[in-house]
Amino acid sequence: MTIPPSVSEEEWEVFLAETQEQIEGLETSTLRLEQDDGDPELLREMFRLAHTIKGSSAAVGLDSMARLTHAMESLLDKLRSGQMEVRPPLVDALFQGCDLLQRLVVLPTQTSGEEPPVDPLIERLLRLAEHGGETVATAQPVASRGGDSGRPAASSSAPTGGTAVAEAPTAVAVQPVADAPAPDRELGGAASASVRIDVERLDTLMELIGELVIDRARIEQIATRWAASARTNVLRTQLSDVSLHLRRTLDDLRDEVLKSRMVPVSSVLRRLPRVVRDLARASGKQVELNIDGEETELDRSVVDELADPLVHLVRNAVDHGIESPAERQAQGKPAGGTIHILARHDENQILIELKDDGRGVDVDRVREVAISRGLVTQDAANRMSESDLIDLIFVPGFSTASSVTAVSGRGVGMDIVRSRIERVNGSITVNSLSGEGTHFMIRLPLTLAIIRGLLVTLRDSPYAIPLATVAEVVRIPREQVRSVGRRPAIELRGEVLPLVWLDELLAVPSDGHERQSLIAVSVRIGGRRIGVIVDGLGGEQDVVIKPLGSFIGKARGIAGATILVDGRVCPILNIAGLLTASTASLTQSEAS
Amino acid sequence: MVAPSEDIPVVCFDLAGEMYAADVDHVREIIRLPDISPVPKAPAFIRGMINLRGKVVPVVDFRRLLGFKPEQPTKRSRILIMDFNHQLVGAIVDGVSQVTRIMTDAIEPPSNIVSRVDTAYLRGVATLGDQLAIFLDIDRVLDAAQEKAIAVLNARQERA
Repeated sequence: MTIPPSVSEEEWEVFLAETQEQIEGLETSTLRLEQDDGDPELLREMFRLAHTIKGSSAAVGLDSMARLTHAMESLLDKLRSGQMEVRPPLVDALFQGCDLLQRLVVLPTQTSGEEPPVDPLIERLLRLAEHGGETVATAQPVASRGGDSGRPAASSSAPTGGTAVAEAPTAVAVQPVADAPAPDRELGGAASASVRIDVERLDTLMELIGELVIDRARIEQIATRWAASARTNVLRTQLSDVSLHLRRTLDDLRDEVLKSRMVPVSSVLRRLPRVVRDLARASGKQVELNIDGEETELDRSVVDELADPLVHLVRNAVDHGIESPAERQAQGKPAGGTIHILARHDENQILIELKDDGRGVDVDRVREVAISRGLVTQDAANRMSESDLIDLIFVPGFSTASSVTAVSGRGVGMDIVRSRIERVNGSITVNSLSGEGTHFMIRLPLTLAIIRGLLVTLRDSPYAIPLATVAEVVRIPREQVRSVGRRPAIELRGEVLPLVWLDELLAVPSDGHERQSLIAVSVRIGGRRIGVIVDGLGGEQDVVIKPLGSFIGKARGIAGATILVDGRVCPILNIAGLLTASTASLTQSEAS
Repeated sequence: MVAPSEDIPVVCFDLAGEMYAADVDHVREIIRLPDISPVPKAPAFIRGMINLRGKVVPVVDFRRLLGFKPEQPTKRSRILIMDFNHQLVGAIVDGVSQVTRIMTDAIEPPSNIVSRVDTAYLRGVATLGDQLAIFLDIDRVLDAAQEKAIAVLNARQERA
C-alpha cells in the first residue's frame, strides 16, 4: 500500500504522528479502564479519542480504520452513557481494536503487507455494543469476511451495525478519487533554497527566546531604576543603550522565528473541498465551496489545532445546513448551496469565518432537543433569547443529527470544536438566521508560544486573560448592577451582560472591600459574553506561554502560565474553563 | 536490593519532626522559598507555581501530600527541585540537613511503626549515626501526587 495521493507527504506525517499518539492514548486509557472500572471522565476521554481517530482517518481515506473506530466508538458510547458495565470481554475487544489500529495506521507507509481483516473485530465490537459482555461466550465469531469489502458489518445487528453499512457507499465513492493524480501536491517545486526543520526544534528556539525576552525586560527595568536613582554615569548610559539594542534585536529575532513557524492556512483548508465533494455526493446535494484568504499565515501549532474543528464545521454545513436541491428551489433559492470560508488577519489574531446559505439553525428544534436531553429546563428555555438558544449547540451531549453517521453526529462534535478552540486561547461564535444560513466566526492567536494578554489583578496577584477572548473592558457603577434571573448582571447598550466575580471563580477569599466602581472584563464564551469583575487592570502585554507539565497542566481553569517582568509567575486564565464545563450548567443555574 | 552492598547518595530533610531521605539522583537542586503563585482550582497539596530561572515549576507541599499537619513555611523551609518524568517538580520540606550516603545493606524494610507515611511510598528505613532516616520512594510519591492532582482537577470540572 502507499500513502493516498490526495494527501501530501507533510499532511501524512502530521496525521501519522498525531494518530499514533491518539491510538497510544486509547490503549493506555483501556489499561486504566480495567483498573478504575467505569470512570466516567476516562470513558469520555476514550470516546473522544476514538471519535478523533475516526474523523482523521476518514479524511485521509483510511476507510478500514474509520470503520473500526466507529465500532469501538459505539461500544464506548454504551459504556460512557452507563448503559453497559465494563467487563473483561469488552476490554479485550477494545485492546484488540487498538492493536489493529496500530497495524492499520502504518500500513500505507510500508512497502509490502496486506491489510489485516478488520470486519470480524468490527462485528464483534458491534455485537458487544448491542448485547454487552455476557452473550459473547455464546456468540459464534462470524467467519472472516475480510474479502467482502462492500458490506462490512453484519446486517443482522441492529442500529449501530446499520450505520456502518450506510457509511460504506461514501467510502466506495472515495476510491476513484484517491487513485487520481493529486494536482495540489507540493513536493518537487519547493525544492529550492529551503530546509525542513523539525517543529520541536522551533519550539525549543521559541522557548529560549521567551526566556530571553523576560531577561531583557528585567535588564531594562534595572537600567530604568538605576537611571531614577543615580546621577549621570557613563556605565548607566551604556547599560541603557545596550538594553535598548538588545530589545530591538530580540524583537527582530522573535519575529523571524515566529515567521519561520508560519504556514499558510491553505495547508488545512486543502482537505476541505474533498470533504465537501464526498459528502455532497453521498447525500445528493449540490454544494459549492469558496475559499478566500488561504494564503493567510499562522503558526504551525495553531494550524494543527484548527484542522479537526474546521473539517467538522464543514461536514455539519453539508450534512445539516445545506438543503436538498428540491427543497432549496421550493424556497426560491438556487439549487446549489454555497459554503464560504474566509481567513484573514485581524490585528494580532487570525479570524476564520465559515458561512453557508443553508437552512440555518432550527431554533425550535434546538430548544426541543436541549429540553429533552435535560440540558436546560423548559422554563429556562422559554426565557432564553434566540442567540442563547443557538449557542446550546456548543454544549456537550447536544446534537440535532437525527441519524448517526460514520463521521458526524452523536453530539460530541460541536463540543469538541469549541473546547479545542478555547484550549488554544481562541473563541468561536455563531450567528444564524432561519432559512438564510449559518455563520461561524473563529478567532485564534497567531501563535501558541506568545499571545496578547490582558493583565488583571486580584488581591495584588497578577493574572492574564487571552486578548482573543476579551470583547471589551467596562467600568460599572455598583448601583447599576441588578439581578437578572437571580444572577447579577448589567445592561450594556441594551444587552444584558451577566457578571461573575473573579475571586469567586478562583475561590480566593473576599477582601471585604465594597467597591463603588467595578471593573468588568467582558469575555466571549461560546457566542455569549460574560463580565468578569477584577480588582484592577495591568494593561495589554505580549505573554510568553510556558508549558505547565502534567502535574497541573490538566487544570481547566488555566490555559498556561507566564513569567512577568518582575519575575512573578502569572497564570493565564481560561475563563470558559473556570466558569463551567459548559454553558448548560450556566443556563441551568440561571433557571434554578 | 542488590546483593553486594552499595552506597546510595541521599539528601536528608526534615518533615514534621522526622528525618527523611531521598535519592540524590532525583534532586536537581535545593532552593529557598521564592514567591509562589497560586494555581486556580488545584488540590490543596499543590502550593502553586514558581519561576525557576525562566521555567514555570509546580510546587507541592510535602507535609500536606504525606498527610501531616500543614504549617506556615519558616526560614529553614526549602524547596527540593526534583526530576519527575522529564519535568521539574518542587517539594516544600521543613529543612534540609545533610547530603550523605546510605549503605544498601543498612536499609531495613519499612514498617508502620517508624513513620506515619504509607509504607507504599517508602524504600525502607536506615540508621544514620544515631538517627533514623526514612527513605522515601520519590517516584512513587510524585506518581501518586500527580494522579491525585489530575483526579481532583477532573472532579472539580465535573462539579462545575
